[in-house]
Amino acid sequence: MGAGTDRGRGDDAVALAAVLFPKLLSYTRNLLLELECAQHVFAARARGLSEGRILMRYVMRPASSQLLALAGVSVSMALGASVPVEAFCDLPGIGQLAWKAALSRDLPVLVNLTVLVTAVTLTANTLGDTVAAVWGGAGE
Amino acid sequence: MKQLRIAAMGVLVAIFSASLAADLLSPHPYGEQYRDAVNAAPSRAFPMGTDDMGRDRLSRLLHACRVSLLLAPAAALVATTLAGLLGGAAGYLGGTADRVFLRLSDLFLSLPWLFLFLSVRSLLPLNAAPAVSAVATFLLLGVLGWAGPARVARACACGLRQSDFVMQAKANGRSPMRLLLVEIVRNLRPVLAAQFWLAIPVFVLAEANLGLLGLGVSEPLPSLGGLLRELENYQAVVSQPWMVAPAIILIGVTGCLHLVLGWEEIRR
Repeated sequence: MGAGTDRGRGDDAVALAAVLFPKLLSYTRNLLLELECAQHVFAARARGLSEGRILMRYVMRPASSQLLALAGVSVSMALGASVPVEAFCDLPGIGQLAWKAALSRDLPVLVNLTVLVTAVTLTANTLGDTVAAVWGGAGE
Repeated sequence: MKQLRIAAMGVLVAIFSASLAADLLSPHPYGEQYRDAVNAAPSRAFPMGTDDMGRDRLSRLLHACRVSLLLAPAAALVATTLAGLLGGAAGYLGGTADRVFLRLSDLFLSLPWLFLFLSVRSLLPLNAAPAVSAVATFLLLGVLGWAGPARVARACACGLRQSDFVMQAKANGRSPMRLLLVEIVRNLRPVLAAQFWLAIPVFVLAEANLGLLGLGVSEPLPSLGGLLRELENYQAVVSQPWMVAPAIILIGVTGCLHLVLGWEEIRR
């Protein structure tokens, strides 16, 4: 989010990251644990491949499409979380604009912001899906 | 781990029963202003001190818990009922109804929820009576939170549509409405119950977000989100550390709900 000062920019990003991190961590952990039990990982381990290689080539690679989709969704979560963070930390960004518009009943601003944010979210999701499709196709 | 979950259950029961008995436990009325004891430190008369308008913090905290912790399950009930009816109907009917349902829920899922709440909440009057604003806030959460649970309900209803007992009920000549309500929605109950429990912490936090922004429950009536607004003043928090109690209660409730729900998951 466009913050005025360097100090503000750092605070905002750290706060948003702190909000998103636990959700993403638990989802990613469940996803990778599920793949860890898959047959091909078992076979790779039996062939004596190193753990790092197994993680990168046999666990991360198949999970990459879902991880990219998760990255797309996290943009939406970050934009949602930016409203209270920016309102509370007094940082000028989209979130604070939406908050001030809501308090002053400025509906045109609010509706346009919602449409803008939805467009950004959809673009991020589509981008994630596209990259996942290209990578997934190349991997097979 | 099991002891931890039992302890979490104990904390939840304690907080819920304290908030139910808010009228009996709180030493003062939540809106009463004691002008001669503004920003007072904890004392025998005010166990957790008073806020900058001279209102007893403990009484306000107890009533805030009652507002947030009773209305959040009510909102979750609204959301899951809507989800059961819409998702069940879409899964059962299939075809065009299903496609319309899917597009509509896609739209609701991709809208960033806080922006949606802000837009709809600002359509409602700000100067409504406190009780009305509390009910309106949570009703809004319930009505706008249907999409996620409804997708789950739809997926299960799709499976139920092909089941033998629905076929038999059809052969017995049951009306479509009765089929939907009796055969489909009633068999979705376990799924909807899980969605109901998962929705409660989400709605408690959503109200806290709205309250923090000053768009939740309106002033004299306390809510957990409304009480968090005081924390904005950093200097005051340092000099009066007991002000963080609402934040601790909020973290405690959502954390304990998380632990207890994890237990449900494992037992299943």
